[in-house]
Amino acid sequence: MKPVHVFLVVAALALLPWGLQSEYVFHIVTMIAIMVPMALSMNLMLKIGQLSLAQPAFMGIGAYGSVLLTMRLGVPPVLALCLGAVFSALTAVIVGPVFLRIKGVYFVLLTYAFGQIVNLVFQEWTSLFGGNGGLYGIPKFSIFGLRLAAVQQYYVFGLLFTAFTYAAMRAIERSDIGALFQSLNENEMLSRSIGSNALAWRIAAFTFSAFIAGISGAIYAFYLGFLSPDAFGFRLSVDLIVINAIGGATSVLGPLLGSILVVPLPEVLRDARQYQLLIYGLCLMIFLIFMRKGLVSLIQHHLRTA
Amino acid sequence: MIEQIFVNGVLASLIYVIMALGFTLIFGIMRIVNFAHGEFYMIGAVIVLFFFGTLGWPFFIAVAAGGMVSAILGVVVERVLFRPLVGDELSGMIMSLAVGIILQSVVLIAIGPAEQSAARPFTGTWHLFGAVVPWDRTVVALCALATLAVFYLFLKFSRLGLAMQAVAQDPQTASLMGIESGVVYAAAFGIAGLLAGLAGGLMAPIYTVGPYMGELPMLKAFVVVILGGLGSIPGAVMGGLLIGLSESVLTTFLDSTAALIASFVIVLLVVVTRPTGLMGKSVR
Amino acid sequence: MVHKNILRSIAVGLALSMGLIAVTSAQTLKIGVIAPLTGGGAPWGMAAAEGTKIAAAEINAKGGLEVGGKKYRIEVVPYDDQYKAADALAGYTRLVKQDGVKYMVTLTALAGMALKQNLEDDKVVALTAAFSTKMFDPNTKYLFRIYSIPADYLPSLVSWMKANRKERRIYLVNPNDETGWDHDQVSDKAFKSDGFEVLGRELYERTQKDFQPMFTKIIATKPDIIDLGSAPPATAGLMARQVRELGYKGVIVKTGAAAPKEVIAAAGKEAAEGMIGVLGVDPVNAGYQRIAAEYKKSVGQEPNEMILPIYDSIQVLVRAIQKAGDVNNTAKVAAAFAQALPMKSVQGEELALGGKKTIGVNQQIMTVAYVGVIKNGESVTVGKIK
Repeated sequence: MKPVHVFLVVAALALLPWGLQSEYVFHIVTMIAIMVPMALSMNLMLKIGQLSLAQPAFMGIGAYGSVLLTMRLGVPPVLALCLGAVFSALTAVIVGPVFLRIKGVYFVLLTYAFGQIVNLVFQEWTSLFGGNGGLYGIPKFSIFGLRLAAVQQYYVFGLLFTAFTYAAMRAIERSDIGALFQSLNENEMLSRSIGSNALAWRIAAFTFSAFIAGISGAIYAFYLGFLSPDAFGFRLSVDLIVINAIGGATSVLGPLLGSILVVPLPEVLRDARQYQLLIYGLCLMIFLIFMRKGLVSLIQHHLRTA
Repeated sequence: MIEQIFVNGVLASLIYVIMALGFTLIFGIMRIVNFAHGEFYMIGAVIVLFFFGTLGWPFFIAVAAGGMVSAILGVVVERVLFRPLVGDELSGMIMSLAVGIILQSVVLIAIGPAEQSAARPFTGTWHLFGAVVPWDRTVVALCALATLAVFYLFLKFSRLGLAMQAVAQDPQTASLMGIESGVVYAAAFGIAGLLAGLAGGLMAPIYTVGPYMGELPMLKAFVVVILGGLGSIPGAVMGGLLIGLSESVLTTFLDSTAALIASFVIVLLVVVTRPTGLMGKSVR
Repeated sequence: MVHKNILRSIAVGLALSMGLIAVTSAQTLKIGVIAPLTGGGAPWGMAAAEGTKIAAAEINAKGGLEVGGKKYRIEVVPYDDQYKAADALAGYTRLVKQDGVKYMVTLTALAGMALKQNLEDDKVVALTAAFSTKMFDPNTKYLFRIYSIPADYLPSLVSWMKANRKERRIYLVNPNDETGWDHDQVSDKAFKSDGFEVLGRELYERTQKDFQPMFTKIIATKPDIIDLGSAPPATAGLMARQVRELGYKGVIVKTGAAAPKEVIAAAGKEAAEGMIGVLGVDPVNAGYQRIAAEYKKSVGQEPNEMILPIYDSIQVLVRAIQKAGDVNNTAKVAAAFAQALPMKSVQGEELALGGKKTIGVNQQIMTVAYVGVIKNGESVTVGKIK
């Protein structure tokens, strides 16, 4: 199936909810639209050969950051959303230079620890973040006077951002920067000999991925109307890994397809929730055994040359 | 109060050490971060819950059974799932994630989500320099020490133990010398499973047993191993003591979340400044 | 031979389709349940789902619920929110927008807080077990709490303790979550205003299991009462055992809902001995035992206490629907709660409508609570409070 065909199918799927006229379906697709950029942000890091478990933390920083700016300081939601993502990006810029010097499994563990710390801070600093009980009463998002109150509007919002992120990633993949990232993944000596500052480019990728995650987080926060720390924990990282593994991490289309398959799964398995985890695990295992190409060979290159 | 804090810390750290040993064994020899390690612990506890609590077997037999089941599970999982992934750190990590999730959900489906209390074989306390030491935790501590000693002797003096060390240091030369890496890998997973299963079985009556009970011990094992050095046994012991004691102090004066944050910050600092940990061997 | 099989299948098919027609021709009244059915909150969630199902089954067995001359079969539609707010929203959207549910149980504070506004906007009558006072405001019309909360019964409990025991130095311990914070504040106020000395207030993490460091600190202040507050029963049992092991000899009380069987299982008979707790159920009550037996038959375990107030609340709900005379006019049904109550609970106690004093609006089913003391591995009811 040519990529164009796949793209058409996806576009058709995206428009399907209006045909079904079900608020429930709109809710599901909005969650998909929020998750795709997250999966893409992890995918970007995978492209440079790093598995980052910090993406949920960046999502959380964007979510809490934008919401607190709006609720406590009266910042207009549009500005707050951008600032929230900027907070995430800044965090990445600060820890990036330190973390990205480390390669392979230690980098993964580092981002894991970082993600846990951020999540625990959300839980512990209750006066600011509301703690485990959550942050409620988040006002609806409004942009230039238009107040987004219906799920359909949030879906469109999410779709627009997804389209933007997808286009951006595709552009990166095709451009010189993409080639650069690939060389960072495969052969650092080669990229050094070209004269590029490998670490700086890694930080750039990390920062951009954090920025994307931050915006996703903000959209999520305004849509749901409440926030709690458990949405930004290790489970989300597991979901993102499953999405990238199943969808395939080599092309930008992978995370998109993976999200469409994986995000509705809890709803489909509504009556048999205990089996949901089991199915996740089995799918992951099957993909690792039979289709390691997508996720793993991408990384293997990097590790062998490390 | 200081003596109590100290005693609390030491008792906690011994279990962390046992958990860390298995974790570091698998990484040292196979370079796989085993995210399912906590689930092997949990299975040991579930076995004890069932055989000691429900069926009434003698406690130590049930614990041994728990260890054996986890050991066998470890060997099977290694042979079928992890053997093809040796050297590929990332796939191994993700596969272990999958295994952990599957084990958790199987147990969830089998015994339900609620935390259950196992029967308690030992009650009462004794006093040490003004600190209260519960008997059940004392038994756990003594068993942990015994396990540590046996493990150390095994590693240093048995053929398999020496073979394992050889493979950890240099697999190519080891195979040239005639050591079957397959046997060593299976043994690594089996022993790690045994250690985790024993730890879980011993701890079953101390708190409660549930499908998610392995998550926290795995986290602690992870922190201890990073601190002590991936692949180092003395590092695991030192790391265990340090983490156990610091946690005890922080939890008493602040709260457990602050202690956990501190543990992760330590991990961060160690990986960034000295990735091999306090006593780890250099990363290949 | 073949003919016989074909005939048999046709007969079965006809019978099934007739049955199907018969079933679908009866009207259905759907009651949704949004609760944690897996994960940490599952014991409560499952009790909520089953309690609702048992109540519905009993009504259906009598031919259905009669409202305005028509008979309705009650269908319970559960949804597992895994104790997560996002899932609760997904469940709500599905139940209300897809399945057309107008009545539901939204068990936890997490789900309730997330859905509070939606319920009022969509005019969905909901029953909640959450303790949070923030869930109600003077404009709440459609959300009802199924029982009295500590803010209601604590002053009464404190008086009971003052009258029946001489200890006065108390340390409060609660989980670090919304319910725990509420409970901490309410108990602090209640104890202080009746002459008790509150030595300190501790908040611990929900997932914590090792309390020795915490109790080491607490014991050093020399309390003679330790209140385990709103700790979940298994945790409370662990805490009782650990604090006893550290040598604490004073009173242990649990002013949040107790579930004595679980507490005793986790603490062991010795450590649990003498523990004072507040129960929503009297374990020896025949009404409760009947419901518990039903639960045990279908689930295979002892039910969580929650099953009783849920069962009672469904009885109140269907009575309100009957009084309103219309299954579709939820505004009328919500207003009809005032006519359905007072009524008798399955345990024989009185259920009344209240809440104005503590939550500002009469949207709560006021229930009677029992004071139980654990003696020799069993909870013995020694008093009643309301």
